[in-house]
Amino acid sequence: MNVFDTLIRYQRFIFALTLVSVFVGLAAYGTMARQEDPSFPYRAGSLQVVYPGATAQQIEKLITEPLEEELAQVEELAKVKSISRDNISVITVILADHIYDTDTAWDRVRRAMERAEKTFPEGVTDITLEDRRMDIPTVVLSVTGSDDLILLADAADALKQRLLTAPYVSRIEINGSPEKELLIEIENTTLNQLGINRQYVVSILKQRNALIPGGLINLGQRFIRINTASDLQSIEEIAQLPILLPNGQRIPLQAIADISIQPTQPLTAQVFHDGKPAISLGIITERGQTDTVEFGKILRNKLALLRSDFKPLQIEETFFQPDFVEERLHGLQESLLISAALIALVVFLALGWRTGILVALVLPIVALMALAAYNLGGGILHQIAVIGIVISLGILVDNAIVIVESIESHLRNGVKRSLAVRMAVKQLAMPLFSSTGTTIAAFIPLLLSKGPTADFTRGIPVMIILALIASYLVSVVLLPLVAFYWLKPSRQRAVPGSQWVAKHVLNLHQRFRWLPLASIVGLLVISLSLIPQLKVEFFPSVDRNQFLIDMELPVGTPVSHTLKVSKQLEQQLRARNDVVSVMRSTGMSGFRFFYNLSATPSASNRARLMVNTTSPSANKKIIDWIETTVKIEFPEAVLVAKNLGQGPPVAAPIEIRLQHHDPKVLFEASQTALAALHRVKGTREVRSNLDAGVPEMMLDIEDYTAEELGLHRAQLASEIFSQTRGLESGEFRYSNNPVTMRVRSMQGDRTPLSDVPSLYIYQNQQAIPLASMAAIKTRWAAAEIHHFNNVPTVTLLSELQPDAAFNQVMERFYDEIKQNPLPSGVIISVGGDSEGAGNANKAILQTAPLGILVLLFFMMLQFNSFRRLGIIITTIPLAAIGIVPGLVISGQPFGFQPLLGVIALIGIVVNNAIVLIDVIDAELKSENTIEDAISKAIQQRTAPILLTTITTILGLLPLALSESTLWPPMAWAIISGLAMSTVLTLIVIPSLCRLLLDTIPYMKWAQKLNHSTNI
Amino acid sequence: MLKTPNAPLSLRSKSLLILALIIMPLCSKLLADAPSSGLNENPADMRAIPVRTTVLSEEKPQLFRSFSGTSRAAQRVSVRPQVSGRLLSKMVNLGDNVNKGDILAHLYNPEATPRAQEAKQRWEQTQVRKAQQLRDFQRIQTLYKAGAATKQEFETARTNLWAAETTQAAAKSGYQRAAQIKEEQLIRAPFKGIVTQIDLDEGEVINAGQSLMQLADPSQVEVEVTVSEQIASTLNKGDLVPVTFPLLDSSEEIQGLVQEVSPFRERGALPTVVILLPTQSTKPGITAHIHFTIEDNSQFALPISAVIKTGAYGSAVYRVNDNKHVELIPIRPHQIIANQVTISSDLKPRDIIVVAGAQHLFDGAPVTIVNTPHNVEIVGNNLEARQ
Repeated sequence: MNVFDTLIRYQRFIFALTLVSVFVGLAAYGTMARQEDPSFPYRAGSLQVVYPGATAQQIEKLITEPLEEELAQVEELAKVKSISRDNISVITVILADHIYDTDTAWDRVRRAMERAEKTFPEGVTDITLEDRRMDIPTVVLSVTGSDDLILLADAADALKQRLLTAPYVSRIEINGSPEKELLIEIENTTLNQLGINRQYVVSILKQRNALIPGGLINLGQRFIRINTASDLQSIEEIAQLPILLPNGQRIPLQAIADISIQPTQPLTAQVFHDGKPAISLGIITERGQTDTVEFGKILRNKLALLRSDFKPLQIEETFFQPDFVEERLHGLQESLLISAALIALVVFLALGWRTGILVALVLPIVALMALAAYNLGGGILHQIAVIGIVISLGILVDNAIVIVESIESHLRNGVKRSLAVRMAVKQLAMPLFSSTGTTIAAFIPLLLSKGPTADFTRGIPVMIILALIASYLVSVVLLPLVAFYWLKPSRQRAVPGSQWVAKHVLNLHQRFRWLPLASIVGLLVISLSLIPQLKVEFFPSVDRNQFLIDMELPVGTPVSHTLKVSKQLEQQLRARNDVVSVMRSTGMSGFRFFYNLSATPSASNRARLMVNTTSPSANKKIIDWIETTVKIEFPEAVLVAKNLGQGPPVAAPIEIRLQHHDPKVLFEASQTALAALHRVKGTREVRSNLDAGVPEMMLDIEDYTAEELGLHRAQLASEIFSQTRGLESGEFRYSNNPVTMRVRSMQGDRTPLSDVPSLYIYQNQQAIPLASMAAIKTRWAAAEIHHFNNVPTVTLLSELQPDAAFNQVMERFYDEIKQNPLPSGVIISVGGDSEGAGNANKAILQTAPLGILVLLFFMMLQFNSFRRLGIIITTIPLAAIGIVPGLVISGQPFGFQPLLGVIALIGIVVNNAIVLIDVIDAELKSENTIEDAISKAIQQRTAPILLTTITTILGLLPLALSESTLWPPMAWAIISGLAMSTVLTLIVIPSLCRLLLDTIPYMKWAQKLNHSTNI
Repeated sequence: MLKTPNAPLSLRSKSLLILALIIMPLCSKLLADAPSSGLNENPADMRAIPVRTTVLSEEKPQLFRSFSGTSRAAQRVSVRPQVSGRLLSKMVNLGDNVNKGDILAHLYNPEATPRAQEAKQRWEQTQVRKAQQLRDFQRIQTLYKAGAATKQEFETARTNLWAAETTQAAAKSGYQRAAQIKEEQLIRAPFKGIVTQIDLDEGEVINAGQSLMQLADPSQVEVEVTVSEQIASTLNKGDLVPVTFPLLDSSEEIQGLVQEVSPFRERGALPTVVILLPTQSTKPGITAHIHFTIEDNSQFALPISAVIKTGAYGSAVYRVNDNKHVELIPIRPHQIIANQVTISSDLKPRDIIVVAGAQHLFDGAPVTIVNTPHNVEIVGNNLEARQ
């Protein structure tokens, strides 16, 4: 029984099902969560251990190394990068690309931390693991309007509480908020006169601030609580705290000390919104089904109500992702509609209005069905998914065109309608199954490959595979039914132009036999020779009217100086007309407001400026201006101005890691490598993260003298600490949040260095200058020690010149290193784009065999012949003839996106070959000669092949011409590759078929064989 | 459908397939490869790195070390009564100006007045007795001259007179002492000055030698500081040293005169220096910083930002040579003063040293010097050391 009869029987069900899925698709489109980019699994995290007072070297030995040792046992970790700085160890850990169950992995990391914690020295105050570092705030708000950071911070806190109740909000992080502490500053000379020291004041404070419960009294029916108010309850109480002096007098604390709540010094980070001091709130929305656009609307409404409550302070939008999402999706949807319209137009023109409507109808139906399936599977509408639809548009009509065209041609030949439909379904169900299968197979490596790049682009294969399946079903099941009722034999003679093409192609074949093949080899050589003209980049940058400037001053620069220098830069920027606003974070990298940003651990010597410009094209102008004019004014800073990137985050496109255990060797290696990298053409802003060190004052205390004066080292140390940082004296619990009380000198960390030797230690009412019992020496010590996978590491970083490619630079660098070798034992490894591209390609190559197997499976299923398989596979490299000139002429770089295009091409190109060979086979089966078969096939198939090619090309054209940086390279790769390969398929396949499928030479050969065996 | 699918290929087709198989990997290899050319072989083409520099001074850096103390009056006294007693009345209040001899307080010693009266009575008694003895002596003398009295009687009378005179003198001085003690109940100012402290309230009892109040003369001010031996040993009486007052608004520097020096440490007592400040320069009770010059063997002072770490603890600076390339020169750091570090090394005066931009540099790197001042303070041009 024919399949079609079954279809006819179940036609109502089929129509109903189609309708339902279309409605589900519509509903899905209306309600789907919208985001700009897909989110990544939580594969990056950071560990922080705070050990106040320890130097970088101590931190490395006591904290970082034990931690790294334990972390080495966690197999899920791919990279462990650590920075040991004074007081703090920051370890960035990256899970391996194949890990998707991140929670379990983080649990193992946590256990490793707990094991390491047991070996930590006493005094480690803070151990944290942040495993949600991949989260990106959807909106960043800034509270401004005052120079008093504490006031702003309180307002920001209040705002946070109000906003937490908004829908979709997952958490809110506050940046730039100063830590507060209660400072009790006592002047040295006052202490000198009174004959007491700060430790004494601390002991009085601690004694007075003990929290001792008063207990309960049972009244028989209820309890009464007794509040002893044993701890300090107000600043007034602290001020009035009596201090007993050695002469028996008692004076209130405020008589000798200044008492105030102040931002903790040294300031760790500060944020500026357009030059105004600000506290910023990063609102992170729930993962998954958050509709960012909708969230934006809700938030704006809520803010409109809240603003008046916070007056005179202002709440400003520093970053508003929903706007970008709307713009991005809007733009892409426009492309989508134009693509659909173009395809429909071509189909109308080519097939006439009746057939045209039929084919054009397939577009929305299939797209909506795919969308419905995508949504049911929990998909989110982001730019990758929309691109998936756009690419699939051109491909998904192919099946429909082939079917409808076939029915039409049968009708033209005077076949009855029901028979025509039946014949078409029977003839084409199988080849279309195979060709759809091969296209899907081409996308399987992309679907299955793991890692950040694959995670980012997964929407494309998912969407295309869904659309292809839907399109096959619709073409084979729904379309014949509709065609059965709808199509009439048209008077129009096939696709206009196709006959002309077919005639000339045939002519070519009949006149020349070898020329086509030879010329194609020639073309291939020519196009490959164009490869040097190709730019290679891993991922292009983003086309936003926004860019970043990272500023890094020498390690050891205090935030106050970073503030000053970055302010200069900010002022210069804001003086420009094409700069709309500037968000500046100093002492930290600020919020990761874009998925691709690498969050550098906060450090006092870093600043990041987010610059909003009038248009994406202004970015380039400003960046050039910074490169040429501004940079010279800041020789002390590493200034990197660049557009936001795409793909997996990298510190810089060129990242070279040098590893060795000896800091001296590492220094020499970094000098050699830095020189080499600097000599290489194409590099820009070459720098290394080897720190310049910090001066360290070594107090060489003479124990004997100190002992004679009745002093101990600990006492000396705590005296110096009370001078510079201040002694902790417990918590004051009655402000908004508990704050630490600190007894300190007036100058604090601004104590002049020349005063240190003459610092007095008060002992038995005698003032003893430090210099009388300690020799003071100076040396340069490490400020930061970097490890990569547990080995001390120096990382060289470089940006690329606009016309340079990372692979070229790396190659030249290796050449240089060959001439000027690094010290022996230094290990070089590569990060940056090379690593990212390498990993992404490796991930695809790992899954490629499966894709190839499936591809071969479908082709073998179709042809059951190795020769035909060979012919079809030969057509694949033909695509390259088109891709390279296409990219060169359109000026697009080759990168991961074009690679995606190439993969898509493989799936599409083989389709043409499949349908062509299918007809040739059918003709051969009916005992025609190969020449007849070929000419038949060309006549029959030129029209659908040209049509499907044109629809695919037109479908991608809006994308190719769009302003986006991400998609035109891919679109151009597919367009040029497909155009060329289609023409060549028509020439090469018949030629190859003639060579390989001709039965006559074979029969001759067989006869000869028979003859010889007979003898 | 082919009749014999396993038929071997013709030579032509074989070679074509092989060609295709060769081209495929070739094409992918070429795609991955990049054009190679272009290294900057000529060092002159290398991009110069902008740096900021400083020129080494020919002057040897002078090092200062500051010690602080509180100024005090050069003439100051703790007023202590000679007698014990109850404080009857205070005649002055805290901060009062007094002249020499002004009565400051009135003590009441219950024994002082009776004793003085008793002594006076005794003195008067001895006077009466002395007058009696004088009369007796004159009478006996007359009688003796007339031969009416014996020599023994005469001598007895004379001895009695002498004894009475002595007793009277003793009683007189006893009286005078008692009167003085009575007078000591009035406490007087020993010099012109200001009352800086009062330790007792009226009605309280004070022992002899206990401090009653403090008096200081603010016209002459001095500072005593505890210093390290290194400084004490190089300082001489009569030296002038710079003094500043950090807590006062005026950052004016004055010269103090070294008045006393205890040159070395002994039994836990640290060397101290007393510096007399010029009159009218300040008041007592102000924190003063005294800046002493110290000597060491450093040759140059450099901004801290010029020095980079080269090994575990090694340090070096970049020197710009004549053809605008930098060399790495090792240095030994000595002392840090404000934003500068004093060093010794193979550097020479007038050498050009990189102070900003070292993160980009390596030994032999080409540089351009951009010393255009922008408003960020250029660290290190303000050596805290004084000329």
